[in-house]
Amino acid sequence: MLGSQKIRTTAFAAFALAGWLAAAPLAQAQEAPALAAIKDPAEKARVSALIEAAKKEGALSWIGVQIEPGHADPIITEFKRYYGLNDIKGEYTYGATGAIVTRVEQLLKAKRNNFDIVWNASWAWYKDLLKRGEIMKYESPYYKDYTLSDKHGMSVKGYWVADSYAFAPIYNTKAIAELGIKDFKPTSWKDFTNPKLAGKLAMINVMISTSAAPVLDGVSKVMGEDWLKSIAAQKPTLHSKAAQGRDWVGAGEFAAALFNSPKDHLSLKSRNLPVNQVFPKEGVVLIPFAPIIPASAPHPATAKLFVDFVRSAHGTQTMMDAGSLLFFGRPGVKPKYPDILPRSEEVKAIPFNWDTDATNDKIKAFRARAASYGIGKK
Amino acid sequence: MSLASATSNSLRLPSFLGQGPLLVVLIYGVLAITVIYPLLAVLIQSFSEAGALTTAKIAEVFSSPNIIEAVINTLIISVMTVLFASVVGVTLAWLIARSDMPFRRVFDPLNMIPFYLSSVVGALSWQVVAAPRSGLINSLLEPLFSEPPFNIYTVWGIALVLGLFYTPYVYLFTLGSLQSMDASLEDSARMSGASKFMTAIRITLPLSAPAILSACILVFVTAAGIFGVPLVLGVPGSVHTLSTLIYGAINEYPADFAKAAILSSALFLFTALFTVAQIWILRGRRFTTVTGKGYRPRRVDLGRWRWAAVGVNALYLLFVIGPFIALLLVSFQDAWTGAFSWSRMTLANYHKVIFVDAIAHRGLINSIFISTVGASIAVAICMLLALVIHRTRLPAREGIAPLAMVPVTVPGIVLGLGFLIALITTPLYGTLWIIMIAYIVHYLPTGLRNSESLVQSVSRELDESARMSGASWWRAMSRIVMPLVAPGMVSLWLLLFVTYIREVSSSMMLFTFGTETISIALIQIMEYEPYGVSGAFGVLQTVLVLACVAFIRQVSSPRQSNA
Repeated sequence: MLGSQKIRTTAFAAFALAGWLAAAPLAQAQEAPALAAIKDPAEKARVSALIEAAKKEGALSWIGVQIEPGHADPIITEFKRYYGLNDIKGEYTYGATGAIVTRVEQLLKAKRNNFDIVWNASWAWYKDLLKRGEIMKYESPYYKDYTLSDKHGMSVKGYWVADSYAFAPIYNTKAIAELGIKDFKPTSWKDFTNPKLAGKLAMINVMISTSAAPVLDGVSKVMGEDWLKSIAAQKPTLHSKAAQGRDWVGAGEFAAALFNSPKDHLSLKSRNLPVNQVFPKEGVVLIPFAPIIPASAPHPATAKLFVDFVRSAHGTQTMMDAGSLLFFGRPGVKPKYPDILPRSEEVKAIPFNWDTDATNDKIKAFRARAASYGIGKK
Repeated sequence: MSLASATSNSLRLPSFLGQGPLLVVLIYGVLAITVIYPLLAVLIQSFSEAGALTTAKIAEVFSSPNIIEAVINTLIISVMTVLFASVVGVTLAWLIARSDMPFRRVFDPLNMIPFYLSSVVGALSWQVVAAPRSGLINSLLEPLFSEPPFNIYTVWGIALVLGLFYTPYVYLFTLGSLQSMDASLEDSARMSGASKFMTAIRITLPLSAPAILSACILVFVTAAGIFGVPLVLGVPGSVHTLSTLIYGAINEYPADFAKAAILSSALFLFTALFTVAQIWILRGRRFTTVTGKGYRPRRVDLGRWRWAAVGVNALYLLFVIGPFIALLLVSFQDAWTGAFSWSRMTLANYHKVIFVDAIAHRGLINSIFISTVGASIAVAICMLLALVIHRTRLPAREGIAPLAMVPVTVPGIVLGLGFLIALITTPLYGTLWIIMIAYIVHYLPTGLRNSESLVQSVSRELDESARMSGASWWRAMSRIVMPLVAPGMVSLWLLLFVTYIREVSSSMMLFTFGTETISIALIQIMEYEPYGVSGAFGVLQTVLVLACVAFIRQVSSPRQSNA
């Protein structure tokens, strides 16, 4: 009895081993899904060469803002699967916009850059890096699909195409009701000049944030100077980071915050907090958010493949499904949470030129104007 | 062989230490590179613009109203912190050391709790308790007032939190002084008709003045340069201090190193002046509290005030521990709305920081590495310096201690900036080692002062006898002095370990992605995670530090008793 059991076990083990030995070369020979999807032989050869080089490089190091660590992991996993790079090490570092600029600048200065992909929302910094030759020239074949990025003037040929995110007002319906404002269903930036919101309005610190200052400037151009004065009259409390405004509104500490992203809205909604967001009918300023490859990237082939991936239709949808609530620069990406994030094609963008409207001088002049109305004064 | 010849002979050091004079040159060289060079780098940067020396930038920086406001805020916060910490610290020390307050043995270790805790976690806790609208206390009291009664996002809020966290410094310094004081002085005052209160004010406190003053200066300098608490509590309320402006100058784009250096130089000048003032005030004054007579400090009978004293001490502990309990509650909530809700109970926040968040892991591992290795290196260096200063007759050894004491006047953020400017193009930048070196240098005065006390506590006769019997200098030190001071070295290691693990000011300037420490990880997590997740990480950090302290105390206590 015992003997036959042993024979059965041995036979099963031998069978399993034979199966594995037979399957291993087959798996090796299987084409990576990315290659299988490419019809053009020249493109296939190019991607194959990049894959082989990436296998030798063995790693991808990516730093970014907006895409939270938990959302980056599925993106890296799918990237590896899609290109057959399961053995490479993928690492994502999350940082705030300013912190990324500071630390990467310091690493570049020290000639110690260890990032293959920098994905930030700092237009002026990108332009400086470009001027200094710190960005690798790379034209992904998917860039041509980024028509929305082109339309909004967020593409730089041969270097990047951009997605974007936007700051829009969030409000706590319970806190609003406690202020005696009935049936608050805002549709316009003007709705946040309601005198009952005075002292209960929060806003990201436009005196510090280099992305929020142009945004408020852009909105004020559409809404007029009187609107800006009315907002100043609300004595908004300035917060230093978007998460702070999110938590203040979520906790009911403030009834509304003027500039938060859909990501913040989703975070509050997922915790069953009575918070809504409005994309005002006058539009929002789209903040460009693009992946670039530093010229000193330690794993350039992997970086190029990654850019291909996150600019492809499959990659953008993977990002959206992983929780990256962005306005993608290519049409056709289906929002995972349509109630939270409108489609990129539908969002009304306030015309804004990041080259000319967000220079240091322009930001300085705007801050002076805002301060003269009392914004930033305690 | 005479004693004189034994001590003046050339040192027979182990080969890795080289010959005596060479060792002194090496020590001066290392101190010059690690202490003086970073400060010079900051100073030179203050006067440099586009490669040329100029004072124009200085004028530009100090013409800004924001800077003037930050200077005033820094001064107010530092003074208020000192006042708070000294009043509370001296009171508690007196109650523990000289009164018959009940539960003294329980209160004594508890009063030291803030010393082991991160002030950043403390700031986060107070945010939970006294944020203008969502703070627990404000939520409770708001119905009684027309508006939230407390606002932690003010200079007063920052000073309160710093005061609470620096009370143990004053407490510890004063306690030591009071416990070693000759009670006959107080007896004389009492016999001359002075009341208990007048005796305490006119006799006891003046005798402890040097200890209190030393602690006050230390607290002042630390509070002036502290970064974490003003970042957490000041920025939301637009309360800027010099340290947050220095950080801001480096973190804006393009980074303004000149502005950061000018502000750092101003801050350094500010703290150095107070340190010099302390030295000048204490110059030539003798405060003998320990006499050669046999005595035992007598306790003052508080009578019916005994329980009021218990209340005072308990209130302090409530201010320290209460907010941590609130933070603990928040860490189990999926969202914080100003009140605890059973329906919002979750373990998800702990799951996130333990299993998901990579930065939390990195911060934890990096901090343990830096603190463990750094404290070990620091103790070795400080002991070597102390031995060279007090157990050799090497030329120029007298200059080592003053040079090594310079960092006591340098705020961490200034030192961090100095290291950044000086070492950014070296292979050290972007490693844990640069942070560790900054910590060792910043707390070199603490380490050296303690090491000197340890070495001086061992009678010279012991090692001199060994040397007369033919032992080399190194053998005498390693076989006689070091074993005798070993328990003290363990305590010093523990002190430095705890100090390093809490440190944030210098590392904030020096970290890069991958070299975050635990406090920086907390600040980063606070950037994007809700209160609950930050709270969970803060609680874990606190538990970890307290567990480390308890463990190390447990491990080291049998050795101490044996010694």
